[in-house]
Order: sequence, then C-alpha cells, then structure tokens
Amino acid sequence: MNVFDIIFTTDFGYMIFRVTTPILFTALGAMISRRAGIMNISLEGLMLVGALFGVIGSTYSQSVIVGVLTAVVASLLLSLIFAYFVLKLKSDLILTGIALNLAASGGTVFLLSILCGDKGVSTSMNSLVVPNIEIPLIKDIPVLGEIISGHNVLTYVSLLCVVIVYLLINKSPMGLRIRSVGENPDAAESVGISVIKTRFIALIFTGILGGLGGAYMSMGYVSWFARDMAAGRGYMALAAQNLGNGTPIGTFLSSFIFGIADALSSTLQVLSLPAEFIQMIPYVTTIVGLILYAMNRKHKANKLRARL
Amino acid sequence: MSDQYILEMRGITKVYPNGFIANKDVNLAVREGEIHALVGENGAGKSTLMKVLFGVESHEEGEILLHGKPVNITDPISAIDMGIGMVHQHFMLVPSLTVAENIVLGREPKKYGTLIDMAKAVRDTQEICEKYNLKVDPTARVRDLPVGMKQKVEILKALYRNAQVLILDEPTAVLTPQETAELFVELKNMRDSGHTIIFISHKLNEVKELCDRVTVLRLGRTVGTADLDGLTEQEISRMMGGRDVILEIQKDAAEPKDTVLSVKDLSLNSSDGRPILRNINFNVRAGEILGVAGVEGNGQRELSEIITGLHAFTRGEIEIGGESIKGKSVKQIRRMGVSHISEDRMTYGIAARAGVEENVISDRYDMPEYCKSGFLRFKEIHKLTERLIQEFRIKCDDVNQPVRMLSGGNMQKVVAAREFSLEPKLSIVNQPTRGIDVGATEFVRNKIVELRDQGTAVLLISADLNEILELSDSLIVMHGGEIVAYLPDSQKVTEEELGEYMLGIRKQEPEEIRGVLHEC
Amino acid sequence: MSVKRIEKIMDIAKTLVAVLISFAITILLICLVSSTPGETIRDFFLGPFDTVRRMGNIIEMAIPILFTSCAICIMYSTGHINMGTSGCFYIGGLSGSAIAFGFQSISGLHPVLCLIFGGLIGALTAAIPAVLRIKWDINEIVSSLMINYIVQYLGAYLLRNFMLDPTAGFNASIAYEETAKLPTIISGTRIHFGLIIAIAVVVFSYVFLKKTKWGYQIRMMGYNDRFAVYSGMGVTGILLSSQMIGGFLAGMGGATEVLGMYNRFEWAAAPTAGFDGIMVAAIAHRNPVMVPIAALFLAYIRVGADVISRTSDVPAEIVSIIQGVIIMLVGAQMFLSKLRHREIVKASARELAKEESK
Repeated sequence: MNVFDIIFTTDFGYMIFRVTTPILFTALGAMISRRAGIMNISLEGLMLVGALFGVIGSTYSQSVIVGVLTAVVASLLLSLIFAYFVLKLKSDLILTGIALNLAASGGTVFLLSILCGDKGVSTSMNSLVVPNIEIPLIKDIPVLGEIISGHNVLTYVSLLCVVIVYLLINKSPMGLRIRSVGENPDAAESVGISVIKTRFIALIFTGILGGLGGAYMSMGYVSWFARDMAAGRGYMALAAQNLGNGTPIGTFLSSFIFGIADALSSTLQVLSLPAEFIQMIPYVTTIVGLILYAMNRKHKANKLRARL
Repeated sequence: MSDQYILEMRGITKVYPNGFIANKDVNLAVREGEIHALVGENGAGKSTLMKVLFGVESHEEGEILLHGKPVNITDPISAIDMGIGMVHQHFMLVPSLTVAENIVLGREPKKYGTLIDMAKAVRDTQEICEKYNLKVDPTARVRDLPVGMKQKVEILKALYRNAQVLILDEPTAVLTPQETAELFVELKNMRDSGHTIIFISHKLNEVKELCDRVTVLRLGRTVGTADLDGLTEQEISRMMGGRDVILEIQKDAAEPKDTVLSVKDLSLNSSDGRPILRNINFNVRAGEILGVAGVEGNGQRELSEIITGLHAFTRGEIEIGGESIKGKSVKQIRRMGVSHISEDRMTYGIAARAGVEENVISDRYDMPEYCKSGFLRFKEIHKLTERLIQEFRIKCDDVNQPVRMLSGGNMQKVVAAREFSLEPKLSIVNQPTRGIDVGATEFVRNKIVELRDQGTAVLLISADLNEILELSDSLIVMHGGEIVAYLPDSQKVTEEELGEYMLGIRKQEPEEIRGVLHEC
Repeated sequence: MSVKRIEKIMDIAKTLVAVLISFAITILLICLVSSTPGETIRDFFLGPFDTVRRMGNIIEMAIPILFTSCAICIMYSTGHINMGTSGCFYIGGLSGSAIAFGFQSISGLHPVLCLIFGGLIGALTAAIPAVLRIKWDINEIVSSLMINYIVQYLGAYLLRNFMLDPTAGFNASIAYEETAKLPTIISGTRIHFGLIIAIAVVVFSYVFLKKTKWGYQIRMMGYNDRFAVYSGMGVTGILLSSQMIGGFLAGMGGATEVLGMYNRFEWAAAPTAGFDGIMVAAIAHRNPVMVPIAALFLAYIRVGADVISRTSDVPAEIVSIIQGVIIMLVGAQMFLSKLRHREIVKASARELAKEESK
C-alpha cells in the first residue's frame, strides 16, 4: 500500500475529524487563556483529569451526560486551582503549570490504582462512551457524508465551540474585556475591569474546554482511561493556538493541521516505516509548523521594512 | 464654586512593599467645582496619594470622605462608581482597540442581551465628544493616534463614566505648549459645567494659570493648602522644597573641539514600513552638549538606539571618532568609548533584582581589571562599587542590595555611575532625569556638565523643555523623524519658539539646519 | 533588620511552610485511602531510615536529580525554561550506553568516554530549542516539550534496531563492558561513584554561576535580558551556551545513572529525573548551593512513597501530588505576603523613627 492510497480515502477524512477533536477543544481553551494574557501549559493536566473523571463519572452513574459533566467539573476545579495560584498568589505561570501537570499525571494514576487496582488502564471499569450520530441529509452526500457524518457528539460540540468562542472573543463584552486584560492589564484596571476576575473567567472557559477535550479522549476516542493518555496533546494545543495567532478561526485551522498529523501517525502504521518515526509525526509537525509560521512572519516584516 | 468639600483625605499613610514610605499623614480637601492643584517635587508622593484615592493602592492609615461621608475605596471600580475618574501619567489604553471600544470598555452597550452594540458605542462616544467639545474620531484605532489625542480619549473615558471628580496626573508632561493651552481651555470648560478637577503638576506657571487652590506635598507629607490668588510662584516653590524648582545649572560656555559623532543621511523605516527617521544629519563635538528636543515618538528613541548599536540601520552612515559603527555590536561600540543612559530605566538601564554592584559592572565585567581568566575579581569590583557609591552619593544599605529596593533617583544614580565612570568619548543621554526627585535631578545634571567639561561629546535627548534649554549648548529639534531646526545657542531660545518647531508648525530652511554640521 | 534580610528569612519560612502543608495533605490522603493509616504514615516518614539500604536509596535517587537540577539552575538562570532536560537525560543515558557496550577501553577511561559522549549528545539536544528561539523566536517551552517526545521515540527506535540484545529476555541493550561501569563506593548500598561526580557538578555549577564572568552574564540576562543587551552582552550566545552546558550536565547525568545503576540500557521512556530537576531547582531558588538539600528532600519523599507502596495499599504516585503542592506554594509570591509586608512596614517605621530622633 502506498501513502496516497491511505490519505485519499474517506476513512482518512473521517479520521482527521476524529483525532482533531481533542486538540481543537484544548487549543480553543489555550487561545482564550492567551488572549487574557496567560501562557497556559496546564492544559495537559486538565485533559488527563477530565479523561479520568469522565470514566469515573460514567462508571458510577451509568449516565453519559453525568460522565461528561464530571469530566468538565473536575477539569474546571483544577483550572480554578491554577487560577488561584497564578492570579491570587502570583505564582510563576510555568512552574505552576508544570506542578499541576506532574500532579495530574501522578494523581490520575494514584486514583486509578485505588479505584481499580490497575496503574495502567481503566478497562476493568464499566465506563460509557458518548455516542456517534448520523446527520440527516448530509450523511447521504457521497464522500462528504462519509467524512463529516457519523461522528461522536463531542466532535460536533467541538465545532460548535469554535463558533461560540468566536462570538465570545470578538463580539461579546466579556471578549472585549478578556482582550483588553491580555493586551494592557493596566488599562483594563483603570476602567474598573478587574484583571484577576477577568482572567479567572477566562480560565473557567479554559477549564471547561480542557475537560471536554479530556472527556472525548476517554469517552469517544477510546472507551477507557490510560495513564498519560493526553500524550502531549495539551502542549500541542498550545502550539496550535500559537500558530493560529490567537484567533478562533486561526486556531481552528491549525488544530486541523495537527489533526492531520495525528491521523497520519495512526494510519501510516500499516506501512513498513519504523513505527517510532510515524509516532513522531505530530511532534515534528508542531515544530515545523512553528518554524514555518515564524519564517512567514519574518518574511512579511522584512518586505515591509524594505519598502520606502 | 462652593465652600463645601466634595472630597477629603485625612491622615493618609502609605508604605510600599519595599519599605518606602510614600505618604505620611497626608491631608487633602477639595471643594466642589474647583480646579485644585496638587504640587510637589518628583517623589513627594503626589502620584501615590492619587493612586490611593483611585483605589489602585491600598493605604495603611487614614480615611477618605466623599460629600462629607467616609467611604471605603478598595479598587478602581468603587472609585469609578463614586464618580472619581483618573487620567494617568502613562496612558491606560488598549492600542489595538478603537477609540469607541476603549471608551465603552467595562460598560459596553449591549444588543440581544449578550453581544456588544458597536453602533451605539460609537454614537455615545460622539455625543460626549460634542458635549465637551473634544474632537476625536471614535472609529480610529488608538495605536494610530498622536499623544494629545490619546489624552483626550483618556478624558472621554472618565466622562463616559460620569466622573464628577477628575484626577489628572501630570497631563502636560507629554504635551507641547500649544496642546497644553488647548487642554487648559477644555479643563476650564469642564469646571464650568460642574466638574471638580485635581491637577497634579510640578510646573508652577501652569498651576498658577489654571487652578483655583493648591495643596503642596513635600517628602510624602502635606505642607499646606492655599488659595492661588495672591500667591506667587516663588512662595509655592518655597513650600515645595525651600528652593526654586526651575533648576539653574551653573556652567561655563562650551569649548567644543573635534567632531566625535557624525551622523550622515541616516534613514530608517519601521517594521510596518512607516518612515521613522528621514535623512538625519548632525555632528557632535568633544566638549559640547547637543540637545535633541521634540515630542516623544518622533524618532529620538530610535536615533539613540541606532547610535548605541541596539538597533540596526542600513541607510546612512554613522562615525564615532572617524570610525564607522555599521555592523558593530553594542559591545564593540561601547568599547569605542560610547556610554548610554536609556530613556527607559527599568527596561534597559538596570537589572532591578540584581545588586548595586552587579549593575555597576555590567559594561566592564570582562575587562582585565575586574576579571582574570574567566573569574570575577570581587575585591576590585567591591572597591569600584564603594568608590562609585561615594562619588555619586547613592543611598543604599550595601553593595549587594537589590536595586529594586532603591528610590528612582538612586536607581538613576546607579545608571549614571556606570555610564559616566569609564571616561566616555561620547555619551548618549536620553531623558536623564525622568521621574526622579529634585536632589537627584540636580546631581545628574551637574554630572552631565562635568562630563562635558572633561571633553566628552554629549548628545542629550529630553522631552523636558526646561532640562533641554538649561543643559544644552546648542540644540536640534526633531519632528516626524526629521530635524526641523538647528538652534546654535540654547540660551536664546524661548519655550514658545521651541514648541512651534516641536509641533511641526515651523520649520527651518535646509541651509540653517546644516549649521549643526559645523562646516565653516 | 534590613528589608533584604526580612525577605531572605521569609523565603526560608515560606519553603518550610510549603513543606508542612504538603505533609499535612499527604497525611490526609493516606488517612483517606489507607486501611492502616497509622502504620502507613509512620512508614512514609520514618520508613526511609529503617535500613541502611533504604538510606542508600535516598542517596542513589538523589544522584540523577543533582545533575538535572544543576542543569536547570544554569539554563533557567537565563530566564528561559527549557523543559528538555528530560530528553537530554534520556538520550544521554542511551548514548553513554552505546559507548559502554560498543567499545573496549581501560577501566579508568571507559566511563569518562561514556559520560563525555552522553553529555555531548545531551548538549546538542538542548541546543535545538535555543536555536529555534534565537532564529525564529519560537517559545522554548513548547519546542522543548515536543523534542522530549521526539527524542524518546528516536531512542526507542535506536534501541530496537541497533542496540537490542535478543538474548536479554526483555527490551534491553547489549550488556555493558565491565570496564565501563561506575563502581559502588559504599558497601551494603548501591551508592556508586556517580555521587562524587554529582558533587563535583554541584560545586562546578555554583562556581560557574556565581564566580565567573559567564555565570554573571547568564544571571544578568535572566534578571533582565534587555539590560544585558543594552550593556553589550551577546545574549544569543549566552542563551545557546547556557542551554548547551545544561544539556551537557543532564546528558552526563543520564550516562552516570545507567552506568552506576544498570547493566544494560533498558529505559522504555524518559525517567522522571528531568522534571524532578525543574522542581528541585525551583525549591532551591536556582541556587546550586541549595540544590543538594532540595534533591535529598525529594529523594526522601520518593523513597517514603516507595516504602508505603510496598507495605500498604497506598500507591507510590502520591508523591507527585506532594511535589505539585510544594512547587506551587514555593513559587507563590503572595503566599505569606501579608506577614512579610507587615514585617517590612514595621521595620520601615522603626527606621523612620530612628532617623527622626536624630
């Protein structure tokens, strides 16, 4: 089989949506944080916690909705802890992020081990998955229907979130405040906008989106929790919003680039290439993407400067 | 004007986290519908007191009364709700947003219950503009506006929030004399329509022209409050510091020698293609101070950055002592005998968390006197630092005290100690006394003259008209990235004349400007 | 008492309180999940001192952390957090291993070669994020995290295809030559010669950072990079060299660890030492002198967690929660700030009173 046989299939198209979903959720979260002026590396931890609590919530309630809500609430709580430390106690942003990610990585295993005696995966727990849905009419369109219909509900929620986040950031009072707080906190403060409060709110959105991303990992992408299953997606999301220049649409598009890279790494495993190199694709793409973005920006600036 | 106090501050004491006591038992009482001046030297505690009033800083002791009732102002929100507005010294605007967005920020008109009604925001902005006769385009992006306009946006912001008491923190510091006059008309308008204004300044002529009453602060304490009628500038000035604020620097006539710095046909574009410097030509000779006057943002910053190697240039030529600096690094240029006081002390001039000693040696740590085969020679470094602390009268606990714990004036003395102590051939001095107390100002200015007398060529860039007129031997004026005037004798220049050049209303002929090249 | 002194004392107090709070949380967690809380708590706190072997474990565990945290002290002093120490440590161990089984040498020289090679590869790995930052202004946090993943996959590939010993019975490299291994220096434990090297690294890092002109440049850049540029320092060179020196130390640490503790290279993923280094450097306020104390402390709670994971039903991962709490509190500026502010206000008032009475 050659590469193109794999890429130009509806399966591959479908796969892209499937693997983009978690990155898109978290990248939107990272974007909101960034617009509020916070470099948020805690998303990796938020996703992990969301993933585990989705499994826990759905196992004990036997309800998908409760499962997803549990994931969101857990991630939100973690995000609030992050917010409290960074905003109230003025902790170092990066150190706090690292600390939370380490605690989330170990803490999820700790909980997993207590709940099901296994430190690897949660397969012994009877957790649920969010269902896939067919979209009427669209599902009957050839090719396109096969690619964009029949996805997990959360995949559609993630697309809806792009619209919501766009309205929030660009058209709502809160978005204006978030942008002003990120660009000039003193200016925001001078008109009575509480920088801390606004950033708290931004981090609440981030927490919710991170939780949804996590819930999708363990309740859609696969049907179990595995240790460190976020596998750097939280960091990739950070890179995606960077590449998207902090705009909702840009973040949406760059998340898809990472989705394609991720899809490639899952699909190309049937090829004779060494598995390790294929697994590297998303991480290499991140770096290459950031380089291309930076080169383009530099090129534009140089052109402008040369103009008389 | 009524006799009733709209606002009273009683016994305010404020201690900063670094232990600096900015206000001690300060009292201020403002009547309704007056323009009340708050004066004092730099570092007397005016800004701090207003930050306390506006809820930006908390205070340790004292109370604030509004309309006779004690109030608790915990943050700017509560201050704004009580009808207090503030125009800060550094503009509090979001550059990427429009004027209207900046004005409605925090009180946005809404449509559909959730989204911003942009059309109404623009309308509202226009309305207040008309009501107070302030002309600003509501849809312009703030980053594209000139300084004077930005200040109007700031005032509009306060008015949009129904401010009854308006605090202006040194509003004229960034304005040309003409813009200042315009502002005064606007402020008097506002007073006549019932607003109360607190006007912070250390320029007594302005205070005398504009204000009704004055409160004087000195060293963080209240000296007293008085009616301005029948009070002379000299009397206020005596209250402020026991001497005239307009510092007169004693200096002999310059004896210029050979050209040290020569700038030829220098041009520069910004990263978005805007011209910043256009065809700049001038020379500075050993033993003279050439002043560069101009409203900030007209290319002075870039000019000083290019000469010191911080900014690259492609078009034009710069020579120091006959040697081109094109392609040279900051270090190479410094080793050619160039020293540099940056306009932005906190960003460039010092490492705030590092000690005095570490700040003093940053330009010479790798010279053989202070470094042997890679290891720092701490004994020599201590000796140097102790000597400089004495010579520059830097007030600090010990040589390792973090610089951030020092007052602004002492920080600037640390910078000056470093930059003036390597016997520079050329010194680029940018805003040397911005925001520091009078004692330090006088000290630094005298040091600059001393430097000149030792034969250093000094390029002095300053937005402070008094400073530039007092210190420079001759001066050039920059506007829109160009040199628009060369004035060979600073003593003979009036502030009004300078203001017209700075605003670009007047421009000399090219032949006149060529005088700065000293080609006979 | 001067303001500077108060700040110093409060810093220490803050660290101690952070540790106490994290211990309280630990005790609470143990009580929640353990069926024998009393014993488990005892085992956690005192277990590490029960036997000589366990006390040895503390030191063994501290050795790699000493390397990575000194690496972070140097790298982070520039103000840029390179998270690549994890990858450097891993690839350093792998590269050192290649020399350890692939070449013959005499016993004194062999480990030296392994360590240097491991260090060099670590330095190259750490250089990548620095170059990306210098050339394209790419955030080193994101890039170094990505590189950690890439390095691990690369390592797994190299191990599987070029180093694997099929007779080992598990996924491990060919066994090291005896000449390459670092000898045990205290019998009854597995404390190896790497301890001496680690102490040398701590001393080197201290002298380098605090006493040389290079360390001075690095610190000034970290305090204020624009100040460094303005003063004439070449910040790109400083950034690149500091990251490479840090990468070298981390890589050498990886090689030391494999040669002292293992017979073959068998890491499936990067060990935690890289991130531990970030944590220890943070607790030590980037001061190499404080690094040994912080590293031993971390190793101590690690061993404590190991003990209870074997003697009770509490998983060893509890330790990552403790770690998280400590780093967050130590890094929190405003934590205990009211107390600090009060002390400073008091001191200033005294100063003022003194001046006025004159």
